[in-house]
Amino acid sequence: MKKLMFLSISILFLFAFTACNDDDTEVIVDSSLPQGTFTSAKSGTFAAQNDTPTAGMAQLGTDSEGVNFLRFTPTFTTALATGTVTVYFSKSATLMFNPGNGNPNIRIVGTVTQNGERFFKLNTAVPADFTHVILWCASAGIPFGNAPLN
Amino acid sequence: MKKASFLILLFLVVFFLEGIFNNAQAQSGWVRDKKSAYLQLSYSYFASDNFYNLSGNKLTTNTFSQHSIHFYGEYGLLDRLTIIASVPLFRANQFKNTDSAIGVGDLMLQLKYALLKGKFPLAIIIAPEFPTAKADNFATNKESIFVDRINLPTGDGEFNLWTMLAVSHSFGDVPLYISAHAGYNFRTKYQEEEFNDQVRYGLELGYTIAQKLTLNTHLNGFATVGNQPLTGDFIRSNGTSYNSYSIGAFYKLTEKLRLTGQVQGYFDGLNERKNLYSAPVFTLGLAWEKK
Repeated sequence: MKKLMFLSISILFLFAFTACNDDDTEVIVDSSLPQGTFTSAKSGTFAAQNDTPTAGMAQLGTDSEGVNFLRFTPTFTTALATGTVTVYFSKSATLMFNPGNGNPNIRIVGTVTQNGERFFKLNTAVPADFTHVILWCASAGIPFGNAPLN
Repeated sequence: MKKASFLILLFLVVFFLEGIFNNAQAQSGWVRDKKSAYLQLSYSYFASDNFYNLSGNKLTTNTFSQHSIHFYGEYGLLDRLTIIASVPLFRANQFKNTDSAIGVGDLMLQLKYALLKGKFPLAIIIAPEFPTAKADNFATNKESIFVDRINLPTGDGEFNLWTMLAVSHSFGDVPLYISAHAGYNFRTKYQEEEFNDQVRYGLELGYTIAQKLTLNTHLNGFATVGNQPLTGDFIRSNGTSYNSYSIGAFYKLTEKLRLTGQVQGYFDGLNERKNLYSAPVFTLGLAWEKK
């Protein structure tokens, strides 16, 4: 019984002191977010389509380590009450699907489910001929907005 | 005892199976005789890729489709008072590239009171609709490489209250009747989205052939009150407007059983089609009537 009490008190002390030890603060690096400063190279304002409340800006740039990111600014909004919106780079303001030829005019980026600031980490630089960011409601098959990258 | 059992059964159906209001449901000035009843179970289907957005512009989208099984029941509680339950028992919404969002709909109860009886019966209808369906119900895109979902709830997520007036007239020797109705929908809100009120009105004309087959046709209008909302999804119908027509038939199989069918379509005119998938809606049903 004494052994058990001693063990319990020891565990309580261990938790109490480790919880208060500032020296053990863990730094979590989220590799999906830019490290250091994000610098925008190209940007454009979203134009709303199909009666959606799309607004805000898209910015294409790199972080301090040279990693490429697409950023939606904190003012970004679109119609998300209906669900998920898919983000594409496109060679024109209109999304041109061509699956038979490997969809050469578009590049899928990811999905967005919340308004506000959002970073998309890109594995490679985006070729200059991809001139627009498109917000696409894939279920309905209609655009919610697009932003030119200038 | 039988009456009590029937009422309990009706209310159990109403409260446990839930539903959403079917705008195609007829409105007339007649109320049911005391203790008489009318029950109908129907199946509806429509599919469309013609979407009219909030500005009234027509878009071509992936095909949206809906399957519904609907219960509709009337019971003459008093000589002048009929209670009505409108209950979609099952509804499945989907786009062609998604799975289905399945559920019951929003329950609507109606209290119909005869203000006037006689040659031109006039009734007032008070109809609360309760948000008994899941307010958010997501279908998943089957083609996307990401998790891609779209919200296709089977109810609109709000409490609302329809108030309607309906008047009818039967032309005595000729088996012909005409009905007209007008109604106002006090809408509330879902989460942060305040809904505009709505109005509807319509005419119905019916003709019975050889006491077996009744053919009818409707012309209806449906409009949003106040400033047209700038945003909103079609599934909650905020900012929706249209004109609709329908052609229907009731065929007496037996003294109590009827086969029913209807086709309803939408068109522009007084109310431009807005925030609406437009396509014919096909309905087939079986009705039972106790006079």
